[in-house]
Amino acid sequence: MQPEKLMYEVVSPVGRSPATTTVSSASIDLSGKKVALVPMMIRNSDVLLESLAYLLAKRFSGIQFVKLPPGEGNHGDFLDESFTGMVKEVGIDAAIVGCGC
Amino acid sequence: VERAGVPAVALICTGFVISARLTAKFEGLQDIRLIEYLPPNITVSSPEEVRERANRLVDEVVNKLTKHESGGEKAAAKSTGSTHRAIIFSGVLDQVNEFFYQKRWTDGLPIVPPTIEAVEAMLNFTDRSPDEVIGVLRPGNCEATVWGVAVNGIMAGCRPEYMPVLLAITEAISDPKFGLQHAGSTVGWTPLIILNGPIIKELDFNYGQGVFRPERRANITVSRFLRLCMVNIAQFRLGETDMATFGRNYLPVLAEAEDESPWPPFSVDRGFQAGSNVVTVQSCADVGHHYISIGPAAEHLDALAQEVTRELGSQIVAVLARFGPEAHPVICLTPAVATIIAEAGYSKSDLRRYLYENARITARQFDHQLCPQESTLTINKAVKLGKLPPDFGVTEDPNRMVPVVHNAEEFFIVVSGMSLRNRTCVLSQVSYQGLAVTKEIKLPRNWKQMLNAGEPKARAL
Repeated sequence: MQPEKLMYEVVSPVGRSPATTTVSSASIDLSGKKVALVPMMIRNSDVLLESLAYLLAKRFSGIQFVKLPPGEGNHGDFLDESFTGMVKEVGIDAAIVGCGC
Repeated sequence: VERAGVPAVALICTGFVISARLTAKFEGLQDIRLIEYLPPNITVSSPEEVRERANRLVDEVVNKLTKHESGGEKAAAKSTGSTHRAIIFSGVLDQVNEFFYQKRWTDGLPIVPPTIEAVEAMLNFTDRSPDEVIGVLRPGNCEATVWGVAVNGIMAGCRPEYMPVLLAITEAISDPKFGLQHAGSTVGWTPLIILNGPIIKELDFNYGQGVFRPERRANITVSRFLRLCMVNIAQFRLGETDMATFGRNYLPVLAEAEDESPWPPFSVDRGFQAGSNVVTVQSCADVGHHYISIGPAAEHLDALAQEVTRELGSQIVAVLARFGPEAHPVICLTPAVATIIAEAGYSKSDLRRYLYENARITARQFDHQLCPQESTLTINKAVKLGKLPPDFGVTEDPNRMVPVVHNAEEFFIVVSGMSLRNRTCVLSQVSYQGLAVTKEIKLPRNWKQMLNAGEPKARAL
């Protein structure tokens, strides 16, 4: 006769998330707007963003582009909230970020 | 960008889309505008191929910025709190393990079932409230409570008296300076835990022979706890938030052989008094070759400098120029090697200075090793950008010798391992990705009494 196996009543190991979520900003018409190019410090990222800027300039009149400087992270990412402040300071209407991998 | 209220579209390489979406969600953005950049990887394409790709992506960029479906909707509050005492599953050992495995709540090994009785036994070893939030762990942005620490400690096989160490480790990785969220980067580093103080012997940590072997219970289960904490509280998941290219397994705790060291313990270097119970956590990209040195002190020092050059002078120098202003490789010496060097009159500070001055590579090698993904970055450009100290760029001579750390103080010296053997190893570190954080281990008021009342902790050898 085999001994009865022990039963375990267990609790969750998962952390609690107090986070609140939001949704992305409203869409815009790009004509006459200032669009930031946010490159990553990886090969060809600048080529991709500059090519996209060239193509967008042909479609939207008055569109301007501003290239934001890279952050201190490995791929030019920003490690703190200073990037949000810079975005507000530069006064952009939209941004294209990448290519990230 | 979205936090500033500005619409942004992100181009993400194939393989990282889920990671990007989840990270955005954990940071509070529900519906990030993402465009997948299909293979081949952008870094292996020619500029012409990338321009051609832009032609194919531009419509999607326009659509995402001008016609994004949910853009601008009202913010929604989310609550995922649950009562931590709730029983989530009942079953026999195999069933519990299968349940946890299927939920992706393990490291692949069987776990010890976290019952309420087991959690309460762990909680006896802290004066802190079970509901106290030790910190918020990224990327999941989940609260690590005292209770949650106990649960993951049980699962890892920790004894209840390890609880003060587990709490200090959690405090360390919660510190924003540590940068826990970067543990999911393609580097695939693992945290290294360095332990100091009388608690090493009180809890029977191995600080001697085979210190990095997974055999002594305290060393390996405490480290396993950290991995489970990263999985269950920080929410690291392979292929989602953990994008390690290869990855590494967790390392048993590196406890220092304080009594056998000729120098003050590592905890003193970290600003604590000798004899303090402290834990330091930092990233470890690699545990280098355990190399041998012989002869008088001068020969040991020469061998150390050569091996430090070899271990850190390879791709890891890229860390200096690309990963921020600090990097702290650990030089782990056995008591035998440390004593020979100390008896020749070298303090730890002298040893650090010696290594800084003698472990060097040519500027040409440095440039060659800089991460090839970004071909335009050179050592001199990194100096101009402020990413390297001026010492690295004093001339344009490609044959000049440059250091493999920013400054001498960056070397961490720890004495551990088999006492009489003449070996040393180098553990590299990834700068802002897992920067060293040291925390004091807070013991409960009746620590000694509780330890004495428990079962024998040391194993009969």
